[in-house]
Amino acid sequence: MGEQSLSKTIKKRALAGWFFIAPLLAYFLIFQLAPIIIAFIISFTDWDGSSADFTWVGLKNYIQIFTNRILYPDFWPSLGITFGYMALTVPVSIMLAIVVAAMLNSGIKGERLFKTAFYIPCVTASAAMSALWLFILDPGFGLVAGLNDLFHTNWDPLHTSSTSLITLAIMSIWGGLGYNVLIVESAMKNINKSLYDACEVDGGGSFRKFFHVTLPGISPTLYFMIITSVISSLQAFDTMYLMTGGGPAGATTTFMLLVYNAMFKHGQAGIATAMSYVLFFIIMVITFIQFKIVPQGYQIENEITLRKEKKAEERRRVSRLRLSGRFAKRKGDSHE
Amino acid sequence: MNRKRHGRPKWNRIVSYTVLSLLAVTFVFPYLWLFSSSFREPGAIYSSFSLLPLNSSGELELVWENYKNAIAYLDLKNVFFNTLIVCVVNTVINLFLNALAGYAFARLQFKGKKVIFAVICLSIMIPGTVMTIPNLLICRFLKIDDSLGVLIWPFIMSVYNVFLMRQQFYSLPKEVEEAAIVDGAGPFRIFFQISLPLVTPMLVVLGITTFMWNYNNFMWSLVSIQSSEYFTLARSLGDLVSAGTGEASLYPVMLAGSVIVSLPLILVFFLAQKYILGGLTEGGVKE
Repeated sequence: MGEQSLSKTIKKRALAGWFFIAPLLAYFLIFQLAPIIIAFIISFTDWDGSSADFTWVGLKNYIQIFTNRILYPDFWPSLGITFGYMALTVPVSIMLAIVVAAMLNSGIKGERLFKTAFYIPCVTASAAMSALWLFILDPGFGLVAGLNDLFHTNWDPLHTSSTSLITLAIMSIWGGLGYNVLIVESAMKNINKSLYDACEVDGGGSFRKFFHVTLPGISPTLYFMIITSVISSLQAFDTMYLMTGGGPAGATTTFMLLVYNAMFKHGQAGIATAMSYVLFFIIMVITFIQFKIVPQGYQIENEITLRKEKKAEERRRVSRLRLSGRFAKRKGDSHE
Repeated sequence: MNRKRHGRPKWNRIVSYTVLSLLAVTFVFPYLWLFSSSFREPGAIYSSFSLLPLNSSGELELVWENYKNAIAYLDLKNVFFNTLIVCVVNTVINLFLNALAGYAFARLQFKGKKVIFAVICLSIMIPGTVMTIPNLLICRFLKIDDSLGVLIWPFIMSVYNVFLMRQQFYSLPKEVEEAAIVDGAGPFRIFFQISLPLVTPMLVVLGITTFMWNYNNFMWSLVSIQSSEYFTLARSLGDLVSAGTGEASLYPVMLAGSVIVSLPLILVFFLAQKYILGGLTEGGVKE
């Protein structure tokens, strides 16, 4: 009797489990898996994105974008621009976030106030942020105009091909600082205080504390941040589309802008999807490499969480056994 | 905070305050400038530099004309309602379905759970923006593109948030739930009455980030919406900004439009900053 109702409960809970994840499965199949597969097929066709007919062209799209410099002259340059943008934004973003977070974490007053200020751009729409910066950077009447008046120059950072990408990079560093600081600082707060005391006892100054305690302590978080920043910088699109349109002279045509143009300006869905897969593949390879060269701290923390989860699992199993015993007894009792 | 450190030299602290304050100025100042300039008459924006909305003769004067133009240009009433519908629907359904799935992965035992969870976790790795065109093509096949549905269906759930919800449920103590099972409560009742209320802080954080993400999402509405009747605030402002690039006469309208679009979220942020600054570090957002 007791055994029966126990297995009924287990069955009921298993059924509920499937029911609970059914929406996720449907969502996953339709909006995660299906796009990947269908677009991969389309990348082997010459589909224009709207008409009903298309023909199979095999690897032609991929070969063309890589080799045909006349039809796709922007492909290689835009790859270079995208990686340049990554190199300009990611290291500076992360180093700046570490410095600012360390300052905020040194026990100063008004910590919340500073964090609030730094976070404002993170809640601003990219279009509004672009407008704000277009205004600041305008050589006619913005802050740049003031500087130009002061130094009698004719500086226009956004529309000069040598500085436009750097300008957009600075803007992106500015916009992302609040979020990065938040994450780095909370990692710093999680470092065991006794490690600092131990370092102090050993005669370590603040530099030694920073390099021997703080930095190793936040390295798992930094690792996570580097991966996500690299991935998002390789996909940069909004500010380039809104502020420069890829110019001047293609100096800010990032890869996603190239994909957008292929799809909507030239109506080449096959080419656009093939390009998407090139970037997809690049990002996957980078992510994989980054997983392979995981810093020590991450592995350690990973192991700790694994061990914790295993222990929790074990405890749960024991309590389940105990529970089932109790369960059977109770059910039996009530029927006696 | 750190009592151990108060014997350290003071200049260290002075440097920190100076650097942080200067940095904070570079964050607050542009917004103040944007705000005040949006109230200046078009001619005055170009003439003098000031944080106060002065008119061309140097007197304090609030000019609402820019806002009138921006409201007309953005088609504000229609666009605002679209944004509200998309954000509210997406946030509410997201929270519910993500929590449901996260709970199942954390607490319920069923065949194939581990495999499914592993596959789902792998899909977090898929770079979202790169998949814009593939996602668009799916929406064209499903005939939901160029409608409000195209802004809702593809974002009705978030795999990453399912993962975060799962971690959250996993870290809850199990004793209460076990007692409820013994008392004969079904999984639905346990989920709604016991577990869900316990993760309210996480729900608040994810609710805010989901809402903000949908509110600010520009690229997807750029590629998936053609009819202006379905524009959202971010898209409408984006069109205004890309039209205004290099066209000085549109600047005042652009500034007023930016204030209209960004002010609601900044206000929400100020009101909910305790949750956002405190909880984001566990929640996080995926871009």
